[in-house]
Amino acid sequence: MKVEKKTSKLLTALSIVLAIAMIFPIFWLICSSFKQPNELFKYPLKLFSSDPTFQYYKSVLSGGFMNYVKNSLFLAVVGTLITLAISAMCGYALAIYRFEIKYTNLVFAVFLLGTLIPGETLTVPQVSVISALGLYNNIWGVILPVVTTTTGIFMFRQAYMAIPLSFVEAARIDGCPEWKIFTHVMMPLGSSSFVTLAIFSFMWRWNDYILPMLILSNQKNFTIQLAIKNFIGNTGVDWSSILSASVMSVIPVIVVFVILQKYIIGGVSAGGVKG
Amino acid sequence: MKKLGLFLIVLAIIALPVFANGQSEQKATGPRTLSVLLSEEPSSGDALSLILDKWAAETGNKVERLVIPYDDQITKFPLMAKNKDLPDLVATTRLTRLYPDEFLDLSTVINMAIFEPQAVAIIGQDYTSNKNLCLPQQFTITNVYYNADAFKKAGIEVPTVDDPWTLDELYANAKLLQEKGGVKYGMAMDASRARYDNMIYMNGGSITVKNGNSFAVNVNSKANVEALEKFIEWNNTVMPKAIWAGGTNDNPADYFKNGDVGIYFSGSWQYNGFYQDIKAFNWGVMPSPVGAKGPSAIMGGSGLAVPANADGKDLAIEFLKWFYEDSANFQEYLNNDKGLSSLKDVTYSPADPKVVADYKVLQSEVAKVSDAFNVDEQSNWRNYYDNEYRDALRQAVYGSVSAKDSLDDFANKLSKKSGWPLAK
Repeated sequence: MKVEKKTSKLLTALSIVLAIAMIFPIFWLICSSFKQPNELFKYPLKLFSSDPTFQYYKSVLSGGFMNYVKNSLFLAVVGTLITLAISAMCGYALAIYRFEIKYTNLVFAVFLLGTLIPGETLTVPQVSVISALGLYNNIWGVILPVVTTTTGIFMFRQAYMAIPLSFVEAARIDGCPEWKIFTHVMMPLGSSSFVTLAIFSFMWRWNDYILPMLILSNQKNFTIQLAIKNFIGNTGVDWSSILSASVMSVIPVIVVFVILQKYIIGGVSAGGVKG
Repeated sequence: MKKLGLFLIVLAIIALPVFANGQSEQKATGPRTLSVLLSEEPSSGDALSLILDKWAAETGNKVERLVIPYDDQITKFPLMAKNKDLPDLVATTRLTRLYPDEFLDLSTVINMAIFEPQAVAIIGQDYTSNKNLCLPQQFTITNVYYNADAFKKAGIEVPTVDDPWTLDELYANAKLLQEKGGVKYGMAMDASRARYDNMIYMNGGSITVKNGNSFAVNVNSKANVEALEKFIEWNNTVMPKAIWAGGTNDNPADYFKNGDVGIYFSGSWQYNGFYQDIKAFNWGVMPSPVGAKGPSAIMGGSGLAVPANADGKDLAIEFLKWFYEDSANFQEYLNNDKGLSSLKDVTYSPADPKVVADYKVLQSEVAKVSDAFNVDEQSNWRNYYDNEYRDALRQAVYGSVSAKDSLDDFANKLSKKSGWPLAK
């Protein structure tokens, strides 16, 4: 009993240390965003500014930052909705029809093999296809290439495989059409996977830089990550603006995470352990 | 589950207006729009932005800025060209050199006689044709800034144009500044090969030498190796070593602005920013030091170019004519830029006595541009390797290889790729 208590205390202390290690850089980022430029690189470094300012928040906002926020929000939300729909349907098919349709597992194996290809090698063909489809400089050219994700399909497949097939069979016997079985029976049971993938997908789209950089060429369509990089110049870096913009850019991700975090553990367990 | 669905739908509704924004391009029926490619988000006092705004206000046209960072332009510009989505005007330091076929020859639309020939040559970077793809906009030169308060505290007299320091004097005074001047670093230098190259030219070295009608690789010459060894010693004693050894992305300009650096090697493009930002201590421009073989300064800058396939190329040409051919407009630009003039008949005449004194020193640097630098520019060796040279210098400063080995290795690579022999 004593050993258990000691272990528990040690683990708690370790968790606190890890939490501080994770939170401190964000705290430093927030504090630094209120500093004057000459304080940012002044040694010894100080956590708090002696002369805090909102000047760089104001200048970033007056430079059209909210438009970039709207673009990123559109990209992240619409991209996530489509990703969830495709992943859930695909995961459902791979899990439920694995005994009914031949080679279903082989198809899934091919999907998994795709994850072995580094994403960077796909960039050139992706851009060529987007260009050929007339989606260059179009926000849909950034959304569509990444809406199918093997991680999401895998997550849903595992979640649906953990649900007894008798649920599906019972619904079929009662005359429930296949689409309704998916939406009214299976989707509610796999809700934690929806939340987990929603959080991940939102973060992926929100933080994506390469694809928007390659596809978008009208400043009105730029996302937050492109806007932040624009403060890095050839002869200097506007750190104060970068810090202010970065603080504002993490707020939506934190909001999404805080709202949905209670579901995330369940989702990871469902996707990773069961089945 | 329902909550999640509701949450995502609400977010989508919030974001929906952007879809309309992003997709509906306005057809120009009244004022025309000039799209301008820049390499960084312009600051409030940016001279080019101010003059573009003035043009827009005078002509009733609009200016649409497109910022693509310097590093990303190499990836992005060819894509834009391929998709026929080019900006009307490009402010650039290298795109015309890398993609000459994509740009208009501006000598057919602007009278080139109005420009300083040096500015046209250096910024145009085209030594093989008679075309002028890039008109000089910001004409810059490397120079040395100093922390006047630190000099005073250490009891050091500022060198004059007529009596500049030698490299040994520079090093000795940098040490003194570090000991008695209240600064953390005696000196600092931008992590740019163009700033470092002044050291090799001062020492009689160069990257390339003429070899008949072609060139030979000279980057591992004795003079270059000695210059690098001296530079390594400086880094180990009086400079923030991490800047050049690759341990940080910090900009030494920030160190100087904080008052942590006594002597700072950079360029005239910093002047306007320093003038606006540094209020905590006195500072100025001092003449660059003289090496064993003489002084050195490197000219450069950015120019304005018009992509040949841009939709609004005629509008861009209208702007260029307005900007360069009406000297009052260029004068206004120059007053905001506080830099060197690339037009023969326009000079910068500051009112502030401090700026007058600094500007004199800046102008004196122009005469220090060496023949060796001009040969290197003509060779366009950077078309073969660019960042790799700085990496070679970094490795030597870091200490993982000796100065000689590092330069030998780079010389062999450059020779192999360019087809130029190694200089004897």
